[in-house]
Amino acid sequence: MTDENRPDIEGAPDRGLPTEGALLDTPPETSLDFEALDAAEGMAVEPVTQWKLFRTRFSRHRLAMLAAAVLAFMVLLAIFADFIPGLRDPTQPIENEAGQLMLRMAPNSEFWFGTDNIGQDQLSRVIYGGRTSLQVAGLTGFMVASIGTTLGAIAGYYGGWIDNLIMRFTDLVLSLPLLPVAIVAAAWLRDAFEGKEALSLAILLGSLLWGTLARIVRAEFLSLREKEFVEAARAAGAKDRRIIFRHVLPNAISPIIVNATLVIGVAIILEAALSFLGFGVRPPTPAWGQMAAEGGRLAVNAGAWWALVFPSGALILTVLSVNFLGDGLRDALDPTQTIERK
Amino acid sequence: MFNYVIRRLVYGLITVFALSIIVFWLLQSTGGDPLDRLKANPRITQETVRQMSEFYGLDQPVWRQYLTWLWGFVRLDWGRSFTGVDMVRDLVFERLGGTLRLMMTALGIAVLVGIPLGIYQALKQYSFFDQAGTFFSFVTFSTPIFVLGMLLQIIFALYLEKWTGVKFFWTSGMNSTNYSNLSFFAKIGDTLQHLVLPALSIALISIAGYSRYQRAAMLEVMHSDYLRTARAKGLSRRTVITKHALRNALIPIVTLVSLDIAGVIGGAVITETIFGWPGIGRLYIDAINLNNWPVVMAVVMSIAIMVVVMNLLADLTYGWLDPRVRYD
Amino acid sequence: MAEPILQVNDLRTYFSTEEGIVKAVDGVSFTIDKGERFGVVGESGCGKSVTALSVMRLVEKPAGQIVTGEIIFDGMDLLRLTEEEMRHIRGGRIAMIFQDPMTALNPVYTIGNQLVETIELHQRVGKSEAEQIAIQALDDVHIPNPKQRMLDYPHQLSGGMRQRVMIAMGLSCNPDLLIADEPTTALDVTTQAQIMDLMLELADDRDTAVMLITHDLGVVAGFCDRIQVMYAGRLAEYGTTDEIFQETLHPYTAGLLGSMTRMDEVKQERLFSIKGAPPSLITPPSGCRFRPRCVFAQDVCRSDAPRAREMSPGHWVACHFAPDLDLETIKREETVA
Repeated sequence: MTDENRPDIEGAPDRGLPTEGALLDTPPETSLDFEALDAAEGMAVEPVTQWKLFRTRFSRHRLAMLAAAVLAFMVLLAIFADFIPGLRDPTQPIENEAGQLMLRMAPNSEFWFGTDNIGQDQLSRVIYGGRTSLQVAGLTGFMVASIGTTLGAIAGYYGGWIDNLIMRFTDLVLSLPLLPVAIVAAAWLRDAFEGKEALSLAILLGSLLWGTLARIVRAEFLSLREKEFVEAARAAGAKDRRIIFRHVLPNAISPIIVNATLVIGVAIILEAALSFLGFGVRPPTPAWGQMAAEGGRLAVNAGAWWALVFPSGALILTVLSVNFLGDGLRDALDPTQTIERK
Repeated sequence: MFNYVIRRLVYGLITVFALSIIVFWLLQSTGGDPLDRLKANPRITQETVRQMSEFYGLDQPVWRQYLTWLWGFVRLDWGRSFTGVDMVRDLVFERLGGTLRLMMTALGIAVLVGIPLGIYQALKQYSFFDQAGTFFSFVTFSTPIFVLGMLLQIIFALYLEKWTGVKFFWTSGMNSTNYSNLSFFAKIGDTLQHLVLPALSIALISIAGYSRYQRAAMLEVMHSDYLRTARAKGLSRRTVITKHALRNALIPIVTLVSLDIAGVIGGAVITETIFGWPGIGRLYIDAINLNNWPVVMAVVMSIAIMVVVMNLLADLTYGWLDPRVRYD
Repeated sequence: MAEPILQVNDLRTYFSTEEGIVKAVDGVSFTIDKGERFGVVGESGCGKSVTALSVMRLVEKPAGQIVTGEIIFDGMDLLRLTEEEMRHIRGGRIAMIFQDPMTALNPVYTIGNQLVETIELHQRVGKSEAEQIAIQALDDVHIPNPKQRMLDYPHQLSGGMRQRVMIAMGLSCNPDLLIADEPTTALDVTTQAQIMDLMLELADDRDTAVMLITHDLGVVAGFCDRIQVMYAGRLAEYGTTDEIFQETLHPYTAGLLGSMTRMDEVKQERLFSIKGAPPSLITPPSGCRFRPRCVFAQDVCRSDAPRAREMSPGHWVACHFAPDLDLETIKREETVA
């Protein structure tokens, strides 16, 4: 028995958060007003578009909305970092009038996040670091979505030996121990692609993390393939590619979105871990993982808690928001009923 | 059943084999020559360098080197480390125990804490405990392990010591230097003092994942038809939960734990760096940085084989638990 | 024989949901006599299953609540019993079997284990004696090689066999009443017939009353003595099988009968179905709930909810205009404007 035949508990990737259940479920509330409406008398529900349904459900998750807002803010910061007034160069050690380097300064009104061991302004480093991390994560998410969806769709739709081949390959990739392999690959990249670190890291992570999404997409396609609308489309003479893209894929889109979001969170953490170990983005380019590593040492040896707290805090906040968002999306796009009505 | 095991081992072998090729190629493609340091040293002559090259087989074409390595590997002759005179095999075996100790402890804690947590959350759905637990899971899960490790280090080792004057936990090494002089109980205590923080760093993240998963699995079981049948038969709530629900709810988590093993290994690699733990993780990183590829290959292989074996064990456990899945 | 074993009076079971309160069962009353075969018929969502679950007090809390009513079983009001007392009743004196045998049996235990569990609980016997009883029960439902089957897991049996096991489990402790919630819906037609025959045989042998819940009038016709037709949580019509089928009083019943496809009739051009859709149980139509789909609806149907009236002894209907309506055309599936 292979992994595919196992009862599918969706969403069990190596670092994905699992299945159903809203993030913070609230017990159902009672509503008291049930006067029959004249116009809608006896009719169950008026038809709503999928988008409207999604919006309603999503807006119920205040945490997810908050998370989305936080992420949006961070993305904006990252994109427009250059235009923030008063933001210093993250790679430039600061000197005061006397020409002394402002080393390891605690947070004060001038340096909101303090300075580090070389005298660089932590605030700007954290913001620019965010740009790096988010770039890598975003690109990774895109890659994972592309590769995973393509392979999963082909495998699920065509079945047979293509399915077998692709799934064996996917299993292979999925069974590689993530961090050790990433480290070796990153070491190679670090020497081979001096300077283009963010891009190469994204490609590396993207190549390792697509497996779970491919499996999910394949499962979706396997089941959707049997549905009548596919047969109808085929009977009408539609070509395979058209069927896949116009008919099946839109129905499979929700698990793709959810999973891609969660993968972004994983990518951020992975990139941070690699940077921490020295295999990711290297100084002087700021990256949260590497800053946290340096900061940890500073915190222990010189009591410079801010060097650890701010980069770590940024990391945690970002990933947390991504995860909340992903959870909210999952709930809004794929509602599961926990109360049966007979 | 026997066939299944064989088949899985073969797949595992193929994976390990493929991995070895990938990693070997990556290591060779790195510009760095393991003998760089020697070459840079002006006192070493060209001739010596050439001799060493030959000795280590570095003058051979890549594919030749690979085959030589492979042949040696399966015969447990793992060659010599480039950074000293140690035999790679000795190095790895020496450190493997440390990593295993860390991993097993972390997994043990995660399973023993995470799973009951998830079950209890499901039973008390919507309660404060449930909500708090979910929140904790999310936050922990979103925290990179090195942050967790450093935080634990700082809070429980440094600050705790500062405030209480007592050294509760050690932050480096597996045992203190005076270990062999300690009494039996002191030995256990010392080991634990060193083990707790690093194991916890790894375990906390797994706990977050397991409890969420288990909660969902338990909830699904709670709403199942067969549980309704059990109630309709007049069984007490306790019997319904402990006999009918639990057994089913514990099946899915086996899959997750099995997948988590690779993650725990990764966590060990990082944790060993933070806590100065003598395991293969640190060995690995040091070796990569020095281009000491025999060591790197040996560690990667060890890890890969470990993962294959553990996954197989997890699969067999799954089959034992779920009668629908008896392997043939 | 006219000794009631179960009497339900004005049962109301509501569910609170995000969208409002669902009045799944809204004032249902009926009586089941000892040994009688009683059918509850209606569309999906009409409240028939919830009625059964209410009798067993298995309605899912906290969302579902039995708001009011009486359920008198053997002189006791079940709604007043403690949970522990209720557990004695469940499986022992009232047994319930469910629709999907695939999911109704616990997949990780052998069927022997699950059978013995009930028997040990309700019959106070030791394990080996319970096993004997279980084997006998399996034999009663005509499962071949019962001794071997005891060691099987549910997934090793076919759908029909599994349902037989469920029936065996239900009858193993000789209950006074067996509630069967759509027992044949998940099975193919041939197996359906076999299961119904089996239930007929067993119910007759043991004088067990059976409450059969189904949406399939065909199943009900061959099995039940009396039938209750439910619509949107309320009673539509109630009477003997003959009365329901031949002397139909309620337009909905007529519609149901009309939409049955029958082998012995002339081929029609189209299949008849009752126009419209089942109503929301959160905001049900005012007055008679069937009104929006009823061709005979008048103003009074909107303003007043019809109360159940006894048209002839034992034959009740909830309609303002019974028995004056001409329902024959509907029953004969002629298109009605």
